[in-house]
Amino acid sequence: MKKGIVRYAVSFTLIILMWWFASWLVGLLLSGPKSSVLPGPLTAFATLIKHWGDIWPNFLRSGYRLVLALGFAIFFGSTAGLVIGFEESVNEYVSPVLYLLYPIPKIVFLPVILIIFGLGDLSRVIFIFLVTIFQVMISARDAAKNISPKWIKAVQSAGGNRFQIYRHVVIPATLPGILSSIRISIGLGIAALYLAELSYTNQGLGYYIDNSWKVFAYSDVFAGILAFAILGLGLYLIIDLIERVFCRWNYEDRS
Amino acid sequence: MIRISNLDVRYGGDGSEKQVISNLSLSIEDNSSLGVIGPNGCGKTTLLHTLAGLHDNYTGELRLGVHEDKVALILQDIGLLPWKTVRENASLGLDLGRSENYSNVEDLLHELDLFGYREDFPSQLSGGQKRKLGLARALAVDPRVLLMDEPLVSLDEFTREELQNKILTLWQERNLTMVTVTHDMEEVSFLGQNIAVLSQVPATLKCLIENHGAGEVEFRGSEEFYETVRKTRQELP
Repeated sequence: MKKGIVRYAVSFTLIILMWWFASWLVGLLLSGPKSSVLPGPLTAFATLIKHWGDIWPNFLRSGYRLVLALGFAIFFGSTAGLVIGFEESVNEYVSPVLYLLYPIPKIVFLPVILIIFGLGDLSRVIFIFLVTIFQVMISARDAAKNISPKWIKAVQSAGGNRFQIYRHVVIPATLPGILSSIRISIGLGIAALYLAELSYTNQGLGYYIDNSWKVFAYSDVFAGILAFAILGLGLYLIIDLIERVFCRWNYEDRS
Repeated sequence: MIRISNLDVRYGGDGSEKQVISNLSLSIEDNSSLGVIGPNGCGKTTLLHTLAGLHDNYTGELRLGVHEDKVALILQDIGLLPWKTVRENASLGLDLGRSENYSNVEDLLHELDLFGYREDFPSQLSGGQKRKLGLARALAVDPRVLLMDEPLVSLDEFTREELQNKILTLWQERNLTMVTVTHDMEEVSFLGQNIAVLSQVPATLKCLIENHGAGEVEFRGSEEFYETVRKTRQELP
C-alpha cells in the first residue's frame, strides 16, 4: 500500500514537472494571447478548485454516462466474448461478424444515434457502449479460447457440467484478461465520452471543456481535463481493487 | 468389480478417426489394485479417460460396478486450478455437488501434510505437494474407484517413494479399487496387485502379470518385487 502511494507520488511529480516545463516553453516561444494556451499545473489546479462548483455537476453527469455505458459494455461484452471463445461452434459463426463490425469507426454512427435515441443521456451512453463493447468482447473471446484444457478436464472428471465449467474455470481463468481489456476500455470510453459531449448537450466535462475553448478560457479547459483525469483515475483504482480481491492468485509469490 | 469386455476406443472423426484401443478385455476385483503399463502413446491415458467417462467414442462393454459419482480420476498434469486455494482445490468435487462431507477434506489435508498450506495457491506448492493435492482432491469425494494417470511423474526418487507409500496406505484405509497408469516399472510393480501390459497402439492386452506381494511397504526391495520388475520389463514391447 505504502509502495503504491510512493509510486503514484513519483508519477504525479514527473507529470507535473513535464507539464510545467512544456507550459514554460510554450509561454517562451509564443507571444500575445497565444502564450497562455498551455497554462501551468498550478494555474490549472487553482482553477479546478476555484470553479469546482461549476465543474462538479458536469463531472457527475460525465461519470454517470461513462459508468453506465462501461457497465453494460463490460457485462454484455464479456458474457458474449466468453461464450464465443469457449463454444467453438458459436465462434465459427460470430467471429466473422465481429471482424466486420470492430474496425468501423463508431463515430460515424453518432448522428444516427442522436436522431434515433434523442439528444439526452441515452444516445451518449449507447455511443460509448458501442465504442467499448468490441474491445471487451474480443479480449474475453481470446482469453476464453486460450483456457488450458487440463482445467476443463479437471472439472469434467470431478463431475462438473457445462455451467459449472463456466463458473469454476472459464470466468476465473479469463478474469485477469478481461480486467486488462476494461482498463483499455476506460481510456477509449473517456475519449468517446468527450466526443459524445461536444454536441447538443449542456452538461458534461466534454461540454465544459469545449465551451471553455470557445471563450478562450484556457485555464478552465485544463481544469476540465484534470477532472477527466480524476474520473479515469477513480475507475482505474476500482479495477485495481477488484483485481486485488478476485485475482489474488495472480499476485502471490511463485515458489 | 470393474469389467471391461472387447473395448474398442476411437479418437477423431470425419475420416481422420484413429483406433487407440482394440479389443481390450480386463476385470478388476473390488478393493484390488491394477497397474497399467505400456509404450508411450499406446492408449493408457485414453483407457483411464474412458473409464472415467471423459471419452464416449467406444464400443464394447464397460462396467464399473459403482455409480459414476464414486469414480475419481487424477489427471497426468493434475489440473489444479491456479485461482483456487489448496483447500478450495481439494473441495472441488464437493463444490460440484458430489459429496457434502467437507470434514473429509480437512482430514485428507492433515493426512497429506497440506493443512498448513490450505490458504496457499498451487503456484506456491512444490511438485510433491501438488501431487498430494491432486490425490486429496480425488479422495475428497470419497470414491470407491480411484483412477490415477502417472500420479508421481517428474518427482525425485525420495518424494516418489514417500508418495507411493502414502497411496498404498490410503488405498487400504479407504477400501479403494485402484487403477494406476504409469511408465515406471518399479512403480507399477509396487502399486499393482495385477499388472496389465499393453501393446503398441492400438492397445490391446499383451499380458496380465499377477503380483500378489504388492500391498505392503516392505514389498519394495524384496526378491519378489525385483522378479516382478524383471517380468514386466521382458513383456514390454
